[in-house]
Amino acid sequence: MDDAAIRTKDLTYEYAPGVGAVGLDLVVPVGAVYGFLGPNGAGKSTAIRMLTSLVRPQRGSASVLGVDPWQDAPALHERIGVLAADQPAPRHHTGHSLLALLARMRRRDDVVERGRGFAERLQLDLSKRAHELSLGNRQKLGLVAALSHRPELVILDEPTNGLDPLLQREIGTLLRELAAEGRTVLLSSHSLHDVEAVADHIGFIRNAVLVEQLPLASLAQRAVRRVRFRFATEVGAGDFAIVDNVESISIADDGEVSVRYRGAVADLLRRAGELDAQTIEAHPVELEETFLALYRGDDS
Amino acid sequence: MFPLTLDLLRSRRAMLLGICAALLLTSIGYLALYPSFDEQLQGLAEDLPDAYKAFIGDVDIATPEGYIRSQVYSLLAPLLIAGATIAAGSGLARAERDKSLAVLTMTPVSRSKIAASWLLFIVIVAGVGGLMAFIGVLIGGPIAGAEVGVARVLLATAPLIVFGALIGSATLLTSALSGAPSMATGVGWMTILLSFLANSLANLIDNLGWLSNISPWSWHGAGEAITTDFGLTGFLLLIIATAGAGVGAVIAFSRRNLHL
Repeated sequence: MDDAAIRTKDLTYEYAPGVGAVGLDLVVPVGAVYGFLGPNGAGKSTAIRMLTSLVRPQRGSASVLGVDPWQDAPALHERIGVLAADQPAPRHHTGHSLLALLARMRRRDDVVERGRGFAERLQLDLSKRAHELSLGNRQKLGLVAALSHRPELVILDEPTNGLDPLLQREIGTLLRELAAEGRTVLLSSHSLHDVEAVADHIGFIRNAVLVEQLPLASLAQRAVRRVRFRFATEVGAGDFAIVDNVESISIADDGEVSVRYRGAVADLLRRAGELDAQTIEAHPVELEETFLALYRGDDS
Repeated sequence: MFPLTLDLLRSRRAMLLGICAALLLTSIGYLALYPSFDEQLQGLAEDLPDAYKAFIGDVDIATPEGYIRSQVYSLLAPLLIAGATIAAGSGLARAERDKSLAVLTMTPVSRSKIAASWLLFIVIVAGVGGLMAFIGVLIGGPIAGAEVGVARVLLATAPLIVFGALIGSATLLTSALSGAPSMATGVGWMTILLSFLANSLANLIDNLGWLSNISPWSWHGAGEAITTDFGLTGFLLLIIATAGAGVGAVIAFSRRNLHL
């Protein structure tokens, strides 16, 4: 059995040159929370449309839970839950009537009960009609609809749009619980902040191409780190020239030396010891900066 | 019964009730008026220009039966029923445009079943509209002094229902092909307009008479079973065309990329 919930090869749908998704080789491990990141318009939603059988790929193949999304959509939709970007519920439906309809369409009575549970947790009033709901509440209703049948794989396109920080956190907790139950989550977002607290893998798409795909821990390894030293004697930037992976050095008027570097810290600490370092202050990984570098297209 | 069809009926019940009331009340109302001006109509019928006679379906409005055909089956009922089925058929594209279809397409119900549910909804809308016209004529016919039996009214109404279903299916086909509600609505109304013009006016122009043979408006026969025979050929053509448009819609919707 494939250990990937989603595996694509050269998956392509291009609306225009460089617009859409081109040559995607996605691998989303079973049980992972996969953060699918990229700027707006990078191709995330196009990729999701191919994975959920809305759009037929022009080239390449996709296997989602072992099913070809285009060839056998009903079998796939039995097992996945999807929240599309900006997905409103049918206007005339209340939350209750939508859950009842989904229960009939899925032929599963437990959908209603489970949906009510999620709604309570997300503080969503199911008695209101969809067109009376705020953007955030419509988003919640979409989430309830996507999760109420206990899907093996959940695909969420920008799920925290319009939600306040408390609810964003609640959704993060919900997604971690799903992962703990062995379910797989593909979480698309343009914001690292949305995914870094919950994801264990990330893929980064830019200009329709997947430019990075790796465990989040590996990204942290490659991230820029900042360490501050104070030395017994005056040191200059040239004293660190022999250390690999140093990105930049700045020396404050009070003598504090701030070093930004990537990779293993051993060489840097060794050199600092040679220079008679008196204090050391390490800062958290600057994942955001690595992410912004990907955003900007600075692959170095 | 498809759950989605039931949901469509439930959610569009206000539209359905409106169409039912309009068909029933206007049918009865028009027919109830007949005794008050039947003598004027008899004089008028002889002087009407050919173009106007063609416009009202080439029926003899001097008789109560002809009056029923001209007032109910020639324009009023086909337009009201087709208007309702056009609204129903364009609903698929509207649901795609406003993305509310997304939540339904992510269920284990295939896209072809979703389109088929919409087709069934259209047929039911046409059927309910036809039923109201049927009841309206049964009630209003005797008031107008017409001697029409239930069987004749039924035979006159059946093609009307299929005509409404055909216009709705053509609209659904456009919805399924394009996902554009305005285009689907436009195609529905253009189908009505062109088929009406082809039926009513083409016969007045040399060498264009053949157009009326390919017009769905002529196939439904404007209630001809009330005064003459049931047009079986036209009825069968309507069924075939409706089935063709419906199957086309189901196939198109299941194969097209959706804008959701």
